[in-house]
Amino acid sequence: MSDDTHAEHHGTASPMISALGMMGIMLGLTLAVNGYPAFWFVFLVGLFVLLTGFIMWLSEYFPMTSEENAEIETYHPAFASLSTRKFGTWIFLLTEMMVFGTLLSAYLRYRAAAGDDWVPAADIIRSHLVFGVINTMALLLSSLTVVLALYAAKRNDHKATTRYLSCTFLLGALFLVIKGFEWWEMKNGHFWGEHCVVKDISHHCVAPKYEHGFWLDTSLEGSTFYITTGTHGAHVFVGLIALAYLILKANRGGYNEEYHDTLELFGLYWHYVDIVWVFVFPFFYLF
Amino acid sequence: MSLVGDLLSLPIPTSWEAFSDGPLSLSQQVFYWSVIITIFVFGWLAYAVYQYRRKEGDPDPPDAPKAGVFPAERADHTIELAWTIGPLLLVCWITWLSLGPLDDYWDVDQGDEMTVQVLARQWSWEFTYEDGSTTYGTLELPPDTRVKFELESEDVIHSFYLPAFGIKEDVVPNTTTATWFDTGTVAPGTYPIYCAEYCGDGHSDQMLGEVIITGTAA
Amino acid sequence: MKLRNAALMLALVALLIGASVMPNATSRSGGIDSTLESSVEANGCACHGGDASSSVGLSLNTPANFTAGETYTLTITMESSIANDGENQGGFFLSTTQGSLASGDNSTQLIDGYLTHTTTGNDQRSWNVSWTAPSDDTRIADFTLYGNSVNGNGASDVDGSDQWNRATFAVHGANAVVGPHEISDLRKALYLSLVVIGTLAAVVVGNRVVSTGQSVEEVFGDYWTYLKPWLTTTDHKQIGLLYIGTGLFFFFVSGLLAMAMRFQLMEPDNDFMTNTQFNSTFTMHGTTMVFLAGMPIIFGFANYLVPLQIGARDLAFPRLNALSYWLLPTGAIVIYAGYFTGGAGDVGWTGYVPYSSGERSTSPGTDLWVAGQIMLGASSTLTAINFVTMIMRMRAPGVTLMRMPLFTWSITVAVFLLLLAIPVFTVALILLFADRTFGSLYFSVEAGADPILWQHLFWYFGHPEVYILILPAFGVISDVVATFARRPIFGYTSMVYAMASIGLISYVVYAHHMFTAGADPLFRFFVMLTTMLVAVPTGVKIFNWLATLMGGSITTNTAMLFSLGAIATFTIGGITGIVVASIPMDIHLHDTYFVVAHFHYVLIGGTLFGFFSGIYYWFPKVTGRFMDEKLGLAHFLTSFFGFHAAFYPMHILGMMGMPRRYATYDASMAELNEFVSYSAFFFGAVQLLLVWNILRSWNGGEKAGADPWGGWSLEWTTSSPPPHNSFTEIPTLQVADSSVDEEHESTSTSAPTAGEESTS
Repeated sequence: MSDDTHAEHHGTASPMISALGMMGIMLGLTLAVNGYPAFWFVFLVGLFVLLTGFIMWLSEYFPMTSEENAEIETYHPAFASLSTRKFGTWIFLLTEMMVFGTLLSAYLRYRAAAGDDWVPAADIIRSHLVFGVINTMALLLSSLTVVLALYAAKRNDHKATTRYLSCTFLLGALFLVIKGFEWWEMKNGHFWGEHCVVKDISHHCVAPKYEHGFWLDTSLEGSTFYITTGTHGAHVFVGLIALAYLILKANRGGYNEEYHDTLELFGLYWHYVDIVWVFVFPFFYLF
Repeated sequence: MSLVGDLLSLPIPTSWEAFSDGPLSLSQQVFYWSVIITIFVFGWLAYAVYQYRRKEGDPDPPDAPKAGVFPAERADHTIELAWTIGPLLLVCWITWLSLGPLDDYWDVDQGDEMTVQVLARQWSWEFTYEDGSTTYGTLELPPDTRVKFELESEDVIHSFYLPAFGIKEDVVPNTTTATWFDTGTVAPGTYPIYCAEYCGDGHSDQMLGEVIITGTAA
Repeated sequence: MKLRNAALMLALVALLIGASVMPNATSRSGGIDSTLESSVEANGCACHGGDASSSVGLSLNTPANFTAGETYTLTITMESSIANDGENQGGFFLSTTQGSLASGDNSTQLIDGYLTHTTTGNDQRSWNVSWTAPSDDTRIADFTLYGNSVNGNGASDVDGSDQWNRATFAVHGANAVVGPHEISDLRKALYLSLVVIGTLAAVVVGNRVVSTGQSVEEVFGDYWTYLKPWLTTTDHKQIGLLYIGTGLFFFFVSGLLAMAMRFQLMEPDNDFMTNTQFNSTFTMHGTTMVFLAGMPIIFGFANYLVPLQIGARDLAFPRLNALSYWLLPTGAIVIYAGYFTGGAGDVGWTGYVPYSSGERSTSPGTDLWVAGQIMLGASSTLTAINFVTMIMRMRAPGVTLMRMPLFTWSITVAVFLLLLAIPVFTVALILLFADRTFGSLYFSVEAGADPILWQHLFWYFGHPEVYILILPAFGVISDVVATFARRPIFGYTSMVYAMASIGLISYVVYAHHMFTAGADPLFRFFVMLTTMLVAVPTGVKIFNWLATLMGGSITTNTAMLFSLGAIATFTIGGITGIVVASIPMDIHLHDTYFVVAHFHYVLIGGTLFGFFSGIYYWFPKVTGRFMDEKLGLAHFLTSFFGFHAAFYPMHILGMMGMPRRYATYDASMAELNEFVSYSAFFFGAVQLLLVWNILRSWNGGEKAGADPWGGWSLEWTTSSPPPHNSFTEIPTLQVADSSVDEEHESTSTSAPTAGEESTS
């Protein structure tokens, strides 16, 4: 039987370093907020170490070309039309579906139990819905640009690849900036008030509960809103970090006709993040 | 009781007597079938290990495993079907037997002669009776009465457990749970109350309580 | 002579002391005077009739924190059913370790630094007093309050008409961190261990310097040369061994925690540990056994063996695999850091809210417990993705899905379970962390949260988790039993379907952990039915194993004995599972020692014995040497009997009503508990036989070839130990020819035909 073309095992310290960084972050954050302020230092060191590990990891990956990342010869593969890495990405997305499934079902459980007593974030946001709409458009557009980037790579147009990836990055960053703005305004009670959508005849804002601000410690409505949209935002943020790497490599001409798998896999992740938003938006912003 | 006596006993609570009286009742059936299955499995195991033990110089059976060769399928579909259907019927039977007692357990709001509000907190019990009086830690019940307990918690989850009678219901904050008990099924006397859901420091000692069924022994 | 005199003197002194502490029975209408101070501090209001009674409720409205030097008004309240505000019917004693107390009005008086009632004040049930905080706000003030509720006749009545109770309250200063007591012992232990390890290291290095003539740098260099490959490896075999080593280490740590619990439970009302320490101990024992010992050992075996069994050179994503491993010891450090910060998490391995989301659980121990498990959740998710991808995509020629060894199949089902269950738990942990750290309200009672949400999220993961723990053990047993019976496994196809259906059903049975939590009765019935149904595929597996033995040529070496012992023990565990699946019986048995017995029977009997069997079976493959059979037999016999002696009686204790997570129990259960404890010590001690056997045999055992046992799966086609890239050439799995029933003819082998490339 033929020998396979799988690359030799390279020893690498990046996994261990990344794990140590995570440890520093978890220990540091937990202890710092629980009475050991000195541990903020440990948290920062952990962050730095994690970043180092991450960069080491990516830099090992950076120079890889299609030869080094050749598809392992398979004999009885499930879903044979997909590459192994693509299959793995889909499995990863399965776990992500469980993550958001959990968050959404906890939210729905609480909302259903509260019935009419639930004063949703939507009541405050409704008066400033334009931001949510812009965000939705931004994400949808960014899903398009990431596909365009992939097509550009497939026809060896490095400049266009880089440009489209940068657009994706900017749109994602815009999303986060607007979200941060929204959060800030809601937390400090600015969205409430005279611009609040009037619901009852005495012209009182229907969400007096949030008169002094709407934050995750205000109420269950707040907790579910911020944790769910925050988790989504964190996924966008991680996507931006990955995009930074992709842009750097695309700029060097790293993605072309033969080798564009990573772009495609990132595209899958990015589309997934977009789809989650398509659920989060109506659940939290509209109703 | 002596240690050996304890080890050989099967102390069931009073409430199980209702479903342990005849040979076709739930706990009796579960007991018999457990013994039968255990003897069957252990017996078969011992028999096979003895009967087919390898002796010095024995040749390998013809279908013995060989490295790198997936063994031929060895099966007997009839027998496999039998020991799938058999246990299936058995567990359905046990489930069926569980239904009768379940009716009783779920029968909370019928014919209660008395209601006691139980408030659990870290770490004590507070009982409030229909006449508004309150006792702490000690529950006093009249004989031959069907009592409904309405359970509420002030802080964390506790569990109202009367082991002698075998009744237990979690006490969950932000809800009211309920359970009931007929004091006519036990002899008058004093019985323990335990908290059966971990609730912190005082879980094993401070949450101890007592239930006193008044009246003279019949 | 001298001795006798000394003894007499001692007796006399003892008598005098005894006499002076005897309480006198006159009433204390004027409060507790200073002559009685030490007696009351030691024994409470014992003069008023015996022991403390929970029928007296005491409260003291202390502030959450104190600011240095501030004065606070404290209200002492006593609730009791005995007597209410009548004459001479109430009294109290309040002392504190920090700051100073002062009387508020003429119902209280300050004597010798403590507060007590006056004649005017002993007709009341609540008193106002004041307390000035100390000037050092890094302290913690511990208040001790005694209150008595008496019938007012001035006599010491033991008939229950005089009652009293004791309560303690701790008030932390604004900058107070932890109780000094809890740290210093552990700190001492930590420094001591560092000194010991440092000394040993110096001795070892020094010895090498002297005996080999190398310099210190060269010796360290040698160790680093040895160590570095382990720290940077991405090879599934080395990662597998790292996992197993880490898992075994934590198995022993958790075993020590278990011994500590059993020591506490040797007698009722034991004071070996405080309640909080006991609570942390069972919490850490459970979490460690499941996540730091069980899962690592299982996935260590999987890492090493599954690629070999399917003919792959490594996992789909080797570097990710390394990350999965390294998140384990780092996550463990985060979890255990609780011990160095005032107490490890004390919320039970199930972490039910609102206890775990509230203030009474240890802090930051519980926060660290949550944070570390989030890291472990990430680790497991990455592992699951890696294994699913590899098994689905990287099988060698001839290895179709229905031709994989049963150990690999068991891991396949297990990782699918992991994939869909672990993210849910990780999210639940993140929500809990957010509640505790950022103030969100997911599990906050005041905000109207539903504590049962946590239970749903936890058990949706928790139940598949226990099947993740047992299915791989079933896989090991299948491989071992077939090999040592020298026959193919009986009913390979139904074994696969049985494992798959166990996995599938496991998602819909989880609410059987919540039978007493107040759920809808119809829902509970559905769950009972599905839980009972799980017994069917499990039974099929047991019968198939037994049928495999028939017509075989059975060798009862240690590996085989542990597998057979596992089958026997798991059968009992499965039966008790049926008992608790039946709701009427579960109402009594839930959260008692019966459940503890059940899950230890399946986890120790099934998982642990199964993997012990795996150790003895695959040790020759990994090291190229056999383990010692005599030590192995001793290990098996002592473990088997020790286990049953320790855990069988727990069924009885559970039926008697002993709840779990209890640090003490009723005197009627004392003999059984003592018997359990001694048996447990024995069971724990004999595990050292395994350690000794491994250490001895690693380099000194009898040499073994590529296939010492006559197994069929692909790992036996490569050398022992396997070469660095696992196979010199990727093998092709052959297939034995004719399908056989019992009593058959000879078989021949053939390579897979062209049509074998079908997906399956």
